[in-house]
Amino acid sequence: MKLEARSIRVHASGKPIVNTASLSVSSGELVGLIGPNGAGKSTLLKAMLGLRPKISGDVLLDGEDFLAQPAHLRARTLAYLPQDRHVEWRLPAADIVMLGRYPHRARFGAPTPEDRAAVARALDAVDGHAFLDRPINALSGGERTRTLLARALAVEAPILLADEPIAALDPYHQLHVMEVLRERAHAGAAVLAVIHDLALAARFTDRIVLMHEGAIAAEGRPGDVLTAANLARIYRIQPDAALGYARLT
Amino acid sequence: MFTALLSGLCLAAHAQPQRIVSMNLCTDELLMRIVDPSRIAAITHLSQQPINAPLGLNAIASRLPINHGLAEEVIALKPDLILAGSFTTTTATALLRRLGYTVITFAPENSFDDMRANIRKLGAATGDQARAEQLIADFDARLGALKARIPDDTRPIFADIGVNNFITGEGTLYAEVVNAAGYRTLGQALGFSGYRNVPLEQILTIRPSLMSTATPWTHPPSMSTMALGHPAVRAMAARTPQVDIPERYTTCGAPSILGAVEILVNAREKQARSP
Amino acid sequence: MKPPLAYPLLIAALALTLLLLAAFSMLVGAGGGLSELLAMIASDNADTATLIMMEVRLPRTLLALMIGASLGLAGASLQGFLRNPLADPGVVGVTSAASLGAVLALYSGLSMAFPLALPMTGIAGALLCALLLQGLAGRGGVLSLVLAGVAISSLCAALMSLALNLSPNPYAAAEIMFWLMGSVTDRSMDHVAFAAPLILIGWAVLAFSARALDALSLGEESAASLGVNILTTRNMVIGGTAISVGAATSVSGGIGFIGLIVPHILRPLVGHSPSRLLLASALGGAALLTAADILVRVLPTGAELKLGVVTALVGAPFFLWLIFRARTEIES
Repeated sequence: MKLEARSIRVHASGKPIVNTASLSVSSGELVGLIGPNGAGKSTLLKAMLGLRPKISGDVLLDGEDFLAQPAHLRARTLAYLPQDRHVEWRLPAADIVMLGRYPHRARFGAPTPEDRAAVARALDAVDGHAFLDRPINALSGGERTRTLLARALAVEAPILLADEPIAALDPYHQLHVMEVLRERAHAGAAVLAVIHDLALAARFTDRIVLMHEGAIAAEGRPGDVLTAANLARIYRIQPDAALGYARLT
Repeated sequence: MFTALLSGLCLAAHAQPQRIVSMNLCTDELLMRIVDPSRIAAITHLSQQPINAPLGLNAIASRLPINHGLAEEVIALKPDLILAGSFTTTTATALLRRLGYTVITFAPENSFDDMRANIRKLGAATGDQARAEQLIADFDARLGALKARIPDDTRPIFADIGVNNFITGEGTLYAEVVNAAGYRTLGQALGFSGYRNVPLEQILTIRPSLMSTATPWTHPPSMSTMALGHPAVRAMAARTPQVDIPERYTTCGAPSILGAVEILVNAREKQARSP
Repeated sequence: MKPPLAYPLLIAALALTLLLLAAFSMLVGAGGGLSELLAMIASDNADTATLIMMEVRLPRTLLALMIGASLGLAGASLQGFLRNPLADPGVVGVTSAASLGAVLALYSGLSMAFPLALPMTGIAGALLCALLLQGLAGRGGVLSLVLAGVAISSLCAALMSLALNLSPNPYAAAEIMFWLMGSVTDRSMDHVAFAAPLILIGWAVLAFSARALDALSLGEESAASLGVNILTTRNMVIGGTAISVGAATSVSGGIGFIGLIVPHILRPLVGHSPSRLLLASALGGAALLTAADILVRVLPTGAELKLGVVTALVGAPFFLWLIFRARTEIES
C-alpha cells in the first residue's frame, strides 16, 4: 500500500504554506518528515488527511484519489496522531484508547470482543497496562503521549501519520515511542512521522523527507539528506559529535 | 365531560347556576352584589384581604370558600358556572373550557359603559338579569346624586400619580371616575389616552388643584413607590391639597368606584367653598 | 479511577428515582392529597378525582418529565459538542428565541386566539433560531457557533425587554413576566400532545450524535480523522436541541439551570463519557424538574411559586459550590 501526496499547494490568507510538495509513504517503511519551524510539515499532513483544503495537487492511495473516498472509509485506512494533545474530559486511559475503534464500531452498542482485543494490543505496544484505569489528566507527559499513540494504534489502520509524536518527552520515552513506530512499520504499516530530533530521525527512520519553506528540499536515506550542506543551508546549524543513548530495560 | 353534561341538565332544570365560582377579583365583587351567597361556591382569596375587600361586602366575603385560580381547586368545587378575567389565569381557563366547564370571561373595563355591560353580562350568565339591572339603576342614581353636587364647570386638574409615575389619560375607567367628580386627570391635561409612564418633569409642568399620592402599597416600600418620595413631588404635595383614595375603589369596574367619586366630590365642594 | 456505580446500576437508580417522583407528583396538588382523593372516591365523587388526576395532574407530570429530560439531554449534548462543562441550551440562543416567539404572541394578543397559539409561536421561534445559527456560524467551529448563539440570545432578550417596555396593557405585561418565569401549572393533555412528538424527534436526533461526541473529546482534528463529520454533528446537536428544547420552552416558558447543572453533577458518575452522559442527564433532568414542580405545589407560599424561580434558586447556590470546589482544588 502506498500513500502519495503529489504537488500539494495550500494557502492561508493568500500566502503559500505548502508550495508544491510531493512525498509518499509505503507499507513497511518509517518515513521521517523533518524541517525547520514553519516549513509547512503539519499543514502538509493535514492536507493529506483532508483536514485542510488544498488549492491544487492530489492525494493518491495506490494510484486512486484518496480524498474522494467517504470519511468513514478513509478513517479505517489512515490513522492520525495530531500535535494537539488536549483531551477535554477526564476519561480513563483505556476509554481513550477505545476511541480509536470509532471507525469500526456501529452507532449504538457495546464494544465487540475484536474491539477489546485491538485495544489490548495497542496498550501492549505502548506498555500502557499499568495506567489504563487512571484518568488522562492524572497522567504524566510520557504516559499521556503513549495513551494517545495507543489510541492511534488501536485503529489498526495500514497507514499511520504522526505529528511530532515525541515532543515534550524525556529521552527514555522518546526512544520508546520511536521504537514503537519502527516496530509498527516493520510489521507492515506505512508510518510517516514529523520529527524535530535529527539524531533520532537518523537512527530510526528508513527514509527522510526534508521540507523547507513549503517545498521538499531533499529526500532519501538519512545519511544522504542530513549532510552538512543541507543542515547549514536549511537549519543554519552545523553537526557536532553525535550523542546517542540506549534505553535500559 | 360527564359532570358538565350533568350540570347542563341541572341548569335547564333550575334555569340558574347554583354553584358559581369566581376566579377574578372584579367578578368576585359583581357576583357578591348580584347573586345570593348560597349560590356562590367560591371567590378568590384576594377578596378576603382587607386591602381588597369590596365596599360593604366584608360580612359576605369572609364567610365564602376561596380559591387561588388553580384548575384543580376549581374542579374540586364542582362548579356549574365559572367566571374569570380575560387576562388572568388564562391557562386554567383554557384547561377548564377544554374539560367542558362553562367559563365566562370578562374583559377589564375602560369606562362606565363597559362596567354596565359587564354587569349585564354577568346577570345574564347567572340568570339574575333583574338584579343586574337593579344594581345598574342604583349605581346610576347614586352617581347622578353625586354629580348634582358639583359646584361649577371649571374642571380643575386632579393629579393622580400612580406607582412608577403611571398616570391615566383619556379613555380609561379612572379618568371617567375623576371626570364624574368634576375634575380632569393629569393625563387628560397633558392630552393623551390610556395609561402612560410619564417623566417627572412633564408632571411638574402642571399645577394641579388636588393630589392623591398615598396608596396602601407604600407599606412595605417598593421600587415603584420610591418615585413618590422625590423632593420635587413632595414640594408639589406641600402646596397642593391632598385626598387619599384607596386603590381598591378604582381597581375594578364595579359599584365600589362610587366610593372614589364621593371622596372627590367632597373635595370638589370643599375647594369651591375656600379657594 | 472507576466511577462509584457501574453504568447500568446508575441508570437503574435514576430511573427508579424518577418513577417515585412521578408517582408523588400525581398525588400532590391544590385539589387534595392522597387522603382527600380517596375520600372523593369513597363519597361517590370519583369522577371529580379522575378529572383532577387524568386531566390536570397527569399532563403536568408528563410535561415536567419531558421538559426536564429535554433540558438535561440537550445540556449534556451541548457540553459534549462544545467541549465545555459550562454550556447549556441557552448558550445557542434556542430558549431565548422560543421565549421571544411566545412573548410576541402575548404582546400582540395572538395568544388569545386559541390555546395552542402560544406554543406554536414558541416552536417557530426556536426553529428560526436554529436556521439563523446555521447561517451565522457557517462552516466555522465552536467559537463561531457560540458567538452566533450569544448574538441571537442578546437580540431576543433585547426584543423581549422592548415588548415589556412598550406594552400598553399592564395585564399583558404581567402575563409576559409570569410566562418568562416558567411553569407547567394547569397545562392540558393538548399541550402534551403538541409537545411530545417534537420532543421525541429532538431526542432521537440527539441520540444519533452520541458516539461522535465521544470522539470529539480528542479534539476536532482527531475526531475528523476518525471519520466524524463535524458539520453534520453540529447540525444534529443544534437541530435536536432546537426541536426538543424549543418545544419544551414553548409550552412551559423559561426554565433555566437544569441543562447546566444535571450533566455537570452526573459527569463523574458516568466516568466522564459524553455519550453515557446523555441518557443519564435525560433521566436526571426529568427527576430534578419533577422534584422542583412538586416543591412548587407543596411550599406554603401564598401565590404559587414559578418553576423557573425554583430552578434558579437551586442553580445559584450550585455555582457558589462550584467556585468553592475550584478554589479548594487550586489551593490544595
